[in-house]
Amino acid sequence: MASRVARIKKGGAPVGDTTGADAPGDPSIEGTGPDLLLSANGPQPQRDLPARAASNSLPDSDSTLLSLEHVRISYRLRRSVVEAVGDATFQMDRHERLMLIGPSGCGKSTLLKAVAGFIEPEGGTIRFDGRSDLTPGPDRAVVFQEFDQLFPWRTVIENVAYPLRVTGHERAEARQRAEFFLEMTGLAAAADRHPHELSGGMKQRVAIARALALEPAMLLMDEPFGSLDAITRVRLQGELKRIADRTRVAIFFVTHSILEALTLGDRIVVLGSPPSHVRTVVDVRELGGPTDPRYIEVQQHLHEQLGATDKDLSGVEL
Amino acid sequence: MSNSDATLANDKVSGADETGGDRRLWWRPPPTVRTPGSHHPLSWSKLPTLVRRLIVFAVLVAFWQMYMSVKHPNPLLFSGPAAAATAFVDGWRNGQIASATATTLEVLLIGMAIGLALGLVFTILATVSTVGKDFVMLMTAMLNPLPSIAILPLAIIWFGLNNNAMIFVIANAVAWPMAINMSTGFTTVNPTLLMAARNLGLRRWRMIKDVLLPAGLPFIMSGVKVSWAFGWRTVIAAELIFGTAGGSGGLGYYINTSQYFLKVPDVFAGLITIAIIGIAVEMLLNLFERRTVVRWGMQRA
Amino acid sequence: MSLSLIAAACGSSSAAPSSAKSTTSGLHGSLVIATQPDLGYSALNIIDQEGWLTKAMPGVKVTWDTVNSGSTVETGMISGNIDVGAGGVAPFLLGSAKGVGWKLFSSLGDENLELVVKPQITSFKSITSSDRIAVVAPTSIQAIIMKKAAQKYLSNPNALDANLTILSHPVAYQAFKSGTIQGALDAPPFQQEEVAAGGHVLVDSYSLFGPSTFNAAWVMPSYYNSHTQIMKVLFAQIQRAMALLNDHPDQAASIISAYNQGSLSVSAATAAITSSTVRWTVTPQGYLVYGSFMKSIGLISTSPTSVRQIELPTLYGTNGN
Ligand SMILES: Nc1ncnc2c1ncn2[C@@H]1O[C@H](COP(=O)(O)OP(=O)(O)O)[C@@H](O)[C@H]1O
Ligand SMILES: [Mg+2]
Repeated sequence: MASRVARIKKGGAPVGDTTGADAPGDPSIEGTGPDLLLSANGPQPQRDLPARAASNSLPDSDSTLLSLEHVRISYRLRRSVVEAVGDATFQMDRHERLMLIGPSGCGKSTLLKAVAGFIEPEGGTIRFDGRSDLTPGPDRAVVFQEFDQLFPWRTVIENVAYPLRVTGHERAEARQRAEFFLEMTGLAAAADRHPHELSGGMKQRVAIARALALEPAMLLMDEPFGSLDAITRVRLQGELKRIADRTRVAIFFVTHSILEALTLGDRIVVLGSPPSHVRTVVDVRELGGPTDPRYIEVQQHLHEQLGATDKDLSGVEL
Repeated sequence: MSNSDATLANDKVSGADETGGDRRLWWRPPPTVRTPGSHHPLSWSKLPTLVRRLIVFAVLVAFWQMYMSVKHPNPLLFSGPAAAATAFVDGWRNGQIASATATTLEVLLIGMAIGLALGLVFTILATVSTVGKDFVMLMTAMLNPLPSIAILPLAIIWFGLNNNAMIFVIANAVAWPMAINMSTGFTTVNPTLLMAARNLGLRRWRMIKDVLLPAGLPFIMSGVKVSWAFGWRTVIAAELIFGTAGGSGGLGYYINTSQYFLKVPDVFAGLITIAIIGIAVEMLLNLFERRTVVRWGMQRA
Repeated sequence: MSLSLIAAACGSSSAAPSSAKSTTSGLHGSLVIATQPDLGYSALNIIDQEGWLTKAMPGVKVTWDTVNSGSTVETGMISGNIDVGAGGVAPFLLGSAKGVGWKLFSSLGDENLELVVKPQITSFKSITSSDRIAVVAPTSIQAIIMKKAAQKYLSNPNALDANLTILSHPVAYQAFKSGTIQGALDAPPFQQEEVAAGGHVLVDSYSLFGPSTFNAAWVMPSYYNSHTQIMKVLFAQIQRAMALLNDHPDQAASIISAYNQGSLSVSAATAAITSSTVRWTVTPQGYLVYGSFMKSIGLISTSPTSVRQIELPTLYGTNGN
């Protein structure tokens, strides 16, 4: 039995996070609440992973940036408790790009918010860079799916430079650095515009530039391209890949698109339906690319893993 | 008018073509959208705002004059535009209205500044602590519906018969609607934006100053507008209850005294002064909004 | 409650002029009378409280309005919404000079008004610029009295203008007691209360102008001429109320106390009614002296030269001035 339920940290932001259909108060959630609570220690993560799956039970080492051990997270609603994450255990190396994939509502965003420090898990530990008492901080810069994560009253360059001022950079240096990252994200021409004068794709690029400029140990991205049209999405995926190759920043990337996961990731962690646990972890580093015959194979495997856990595949893009 | 009719008719015709089948176009040119007034060079919405307002004003004055000419109201009760304008000019010439306006504005602005500051402090208190929240909720619920003039006797006992009593009453009239609007502004800030701000490491004071305040600015501005109206009403009402003779009374006192002396055009001159100040402040606030929340895309013009 | 009924019964048996009833029972029409919350309106208040008008003219719809400001009475009369208004000497003269056209219908009584000041003020010369003196309105008789006093003792009728503060009587009394103001020129019973609260009388109105009406009822000649019968009945009832006030002050006091719904005790009302500063009479007093003074300091452009100019036939032969 869960005696300690995820405490939403002060500031309460996650409570108000009502993105998607799986908002708090959704009758389907409330209805399943108590049952989920009873099966809190339900299905254990599969340990016998396919050949290409990377082992997720290696002991911590210097190269490990992030590790999750039996992380369990629930939301307490007015009359019930929603078990979002049942048991999540995996690690992430420095400079690694880890893709978290799973059906809609399986707890991907919840896990990301826990790593970002917005939510405290009710069970298990999250260790980041050796620390386990995580509060929100610029060392884990977050890029959200929503376009309105920018400060509307600041210009593009101010949006990037302001956090740098907060983290203690001199005005001139902050500006210089902001210019550099805007250049990198192809936004130099829009530097003096206000966010509402930008397209959705440009807004997400500003958010990425803002996060990168902080030079975080890790970039947390929650479906950053999920609200973009297909063409813009593909273009930004390419840009992110290029930038990540250049900066070698570690990326914790939440997606529900298998294709996006394969395109951007080093490894892919597949979550099952809630209360979710890690179904499988797939290493895609040695794959050659879409032309590699094994690519199809992996794609098929992911498809099966996701399909096997969730009859309704509407939330997963192939 | 005729434009839209024509568009409607066109739509019907092309609709008939579609059902007819054989001459159906696979491609149809996009309908030309005519915004009202794009046709006539001298249409209303194309005129500069100031000109439009002046015309509306002229029409109002014309109606006023018409009422005078048709109804011939008793000049001891009602005054026409010409007499009011003369009294207005004379009142400003001899300095009476100017000094009354200065007196009122001084009290009003000090009272409002204190009220706005208090509203801000209360909102911040309510934001950072639960006790503060309980306190502000209770005080707002109790004091906001109270006609602020009702506490004037109390204010007179505390502060004496002077401007401080009026300032207190105005500050009270302003602080609570301000606190209500500001906390609405604070609590309706987009949660994603708040998370982004916390992620950047923003805490307490910086969070309030750099995120909550600008994000809540549309609500704060409507709070300021409401407060301005409350403040005016309160100061005029307070001046009606006590004013000082001998030249240092405010506009409310000026109007009231003119009424006692049956100088109706002077009453109207005082009312016109209040109206003009109202228009000026409205314009100033609108300008501020255009430079801020409208420019930032947080509110439509 | 029962006490006031008994009082009313006694009042009507002892003081009613019995002639009015028979001739007026067939009257029709409407009559709107406005008063303000003040003991100076006692005569009208007694008529209201006892229902004398309704009894005398059952066919006439009588409406009593209590308003809070003299200027409301004036506006109401000018616009024709009030048939019988009442107020002081100064607003009456001011309106007359402005061409309002109202006439005196009946006085409601004389009062000697006293300027009560704090002990530290021993003479007009000792009033400093920071001293505040309350009067009820800028056009009130009290404001005129202050100007006369300033003219007499300081050689300049406007010398005390900057000291004047406009406050209603109850607020002025509170402010005087709490020391917020240093002087008040209001009316009974407040002036007595202020003396009781440690003030002393610096000057009174009779010493400056002689006896004068405090409140009088006003009527527009147009209404008077088209409603002479109703007007006769009203005047008779005012005389009856005056008789009660003069001859049976204790009865009058209990009626006034009931009218004020207990906010004024019978004993306080008795004290106010029998005060030496008050005289209950229908005869107007002091209009000519006040008028010529107001004209002399430029407050009004014309002033009446005889009482006939400003009174209605009801008052002919009462020897007003
Ligand atoms: N603030 C919240 N309050 C209550 N339930 C929540 C909240 N946020 C998410 N949930 C629930 O937790 C589960 C996981 O949500 P989430 O992490 O957003 O899923 P994903 O990002 O994988 O789509 C869902 O069932 C969702 O309804
Ligand atoms: Mg999500």
